[in-house]
Amino acid sequence: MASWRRTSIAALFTVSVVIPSRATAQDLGAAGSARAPTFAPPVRLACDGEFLGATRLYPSPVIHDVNGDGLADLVLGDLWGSVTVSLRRAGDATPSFGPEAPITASDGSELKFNNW
Amino acid sequence: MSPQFVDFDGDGRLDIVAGTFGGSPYVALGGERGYAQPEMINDAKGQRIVLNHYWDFDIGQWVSANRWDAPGSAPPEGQCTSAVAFDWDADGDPDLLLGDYKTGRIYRRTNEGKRGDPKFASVNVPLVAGGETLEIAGRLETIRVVDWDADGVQDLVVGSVGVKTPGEGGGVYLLRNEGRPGTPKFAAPITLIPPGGAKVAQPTRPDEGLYPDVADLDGDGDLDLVVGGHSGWTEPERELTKAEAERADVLRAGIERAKAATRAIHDDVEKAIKGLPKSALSGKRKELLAERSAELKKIAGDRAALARELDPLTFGPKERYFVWFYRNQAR
Repeated sequence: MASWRRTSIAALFTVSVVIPSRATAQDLGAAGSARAPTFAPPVRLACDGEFLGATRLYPSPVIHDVNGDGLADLVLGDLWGSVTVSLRRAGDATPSFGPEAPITASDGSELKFNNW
Repeated sequence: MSPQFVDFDGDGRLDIVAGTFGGSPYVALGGERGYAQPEMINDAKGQRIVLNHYWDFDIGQWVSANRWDAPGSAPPEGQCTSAVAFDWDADGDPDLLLGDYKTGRIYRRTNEGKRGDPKFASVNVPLVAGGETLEIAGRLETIRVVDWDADGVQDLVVGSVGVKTPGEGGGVYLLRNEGRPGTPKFAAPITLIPPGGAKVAQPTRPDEGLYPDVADLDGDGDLDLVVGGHSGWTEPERELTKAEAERADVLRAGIERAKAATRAIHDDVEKAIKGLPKSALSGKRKELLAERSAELKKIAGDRAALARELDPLTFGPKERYFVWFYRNQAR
């Protein structure tokens, strides 16, 4: 399920993000006069009418291309230590994702982070 | 838990690092055939990496200890529930930043080893931002590492927990790194999403427990936010038709049956482990619950479907978790 990419050490710590444009840097004030960007009113991410994360506790998203198709997918962790992926659907500037599917370990079991 | 995809062990493959509520960071190492199940990340002495409050799996209870506090300091009780790899000193191997769920602080564990052979220090060094020990208002939910302003050094974006009081919910903050690679210097937090919690009739944003991530999701060249979190709202009342009211009763009864079935499984497990030594309780409980996980999952799925159908037939205070997309309007 996963794509395994070799990355340089410089890229190791930014794998889940995209480097912004200079315009963003100027908006924020790279010289130090920082001001926060403006965001549009937020919208809930959904798949076929079902809100993503709605059946989870404390869903923690990370954007990452899990299947190596060049599209950034939505990975969700949660309080119980489960990790799922909703694959990004191509075509829209407004992000659209598939259903939450467990990420599996190499032994075929569902990946599960230990909890208390 | 906030997974982070990062090459933790320096083998060229992505691993997954995450903090957990128990108080320690874990890593799921990526191999040729996929990920191994997560393992706890330990320090150079082989001890758990924790702040000063954590769940002790051996004795099955929360414990406090100050032996990992920086010498001469007396930090407040802290619980690490988020963790990210961050090459603080630019020496090519990952150090760790630990988020404190109880206070809003971030602590660093320096990696004194080398790439592929980590040796984490045994002291929690508090992060300074704006010249003071950082303490995010509303407690810390998670940390993300990103070069937000494209100046070549990694900044931090953090989410806070908050409370239900209007205006005191969770928010998202940017900590700009005004230092250089290897010598980070963080500025005071800049608010990206203000604390939530306003009284509303429909969910309009995440209010508490905000977990952000950062990416250019709409492909317009600037960084957007994706934020998981808890929303609360009060659905205005309306009169149900007779058919709706009857259906609502059926759905409620189904949900109660599902709850009872779940409770029965847990009762079975507790009965089975009764009398075991305290040190064995947690492990055996997990083992028995794992054996019945398919049943539990089926019941949970059925219950969720019933709840989804019932939702538009109920009114008043509601709360739920969602994942939200905040589009950056810079471009």
